[in-house]
Amino acid sequence: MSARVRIPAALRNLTGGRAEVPVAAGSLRSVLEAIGRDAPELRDRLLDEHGGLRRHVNVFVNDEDVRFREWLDTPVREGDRVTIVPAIAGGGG
Amino acid sequence: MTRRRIEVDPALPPVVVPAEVLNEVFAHAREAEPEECCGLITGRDGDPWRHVIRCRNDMTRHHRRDPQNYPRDGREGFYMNEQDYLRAEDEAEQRGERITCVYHSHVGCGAYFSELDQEFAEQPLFPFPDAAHLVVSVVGGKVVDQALFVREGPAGPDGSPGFVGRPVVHGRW
Repeated sequence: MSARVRIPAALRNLTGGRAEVPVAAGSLRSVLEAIGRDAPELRDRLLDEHGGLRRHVNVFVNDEDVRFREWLDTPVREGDRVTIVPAIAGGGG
Repeated sequence: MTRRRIEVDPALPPVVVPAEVLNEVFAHAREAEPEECCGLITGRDGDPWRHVIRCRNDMTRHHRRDPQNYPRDGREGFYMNEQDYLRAEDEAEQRGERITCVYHSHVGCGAYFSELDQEFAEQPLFPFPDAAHLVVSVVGGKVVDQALFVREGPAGPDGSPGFVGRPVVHGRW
């Protein structure tokens, strides 16, 4: 049994139309690197040149915001659900 | 990419928004002051203004945790709670609707489409690329202006139509 990564609609053209991708358990960083090996363009959309998450995207592991856990070191266990969520933000300022 | 704020173009025809929808957005904006509010409007083709769904603005929460990456707090920005917007998307789908508009308020400044608003609305992963953006301006507890930003301008570098600002007026009940 592996973990599952839910792909947002805007990125499914990079996963052959698949809404979910199975991945081996590990850290969130290893999970994102693994799906990036199969879909390098997807990796570039999610991670910046330093390997950090881009500011327009966030990730939840089982409905928990990884920014309030261990960020890219957040553990992803077998059976976990990883959700990639684009950000909606802005402001006057 | 260099961006400049987009102001409403008074020469464009106004968009008529049903009063109950606009009043709900205004009420949210007034209640949220001194912070910005944010939310979604759902509807259908030909009937885009059906339901207003308030979402939480998490900007202050992120700013307190990580001021380097989130230099603004909720008085100067909004960051829509992801769980709220995913739930709103599900609710819309169950009603046979879609997200037709993203709204937020500006506090103490005008109803323009800021550089930051554009940065997020135009990024390739933005979940509702066809949605309009309603911006309302709140000053001293009152909504003083509103404008709708829609993709009806000349095409940008990526080939998508650019945003223009249209006036907004209340429709009848």
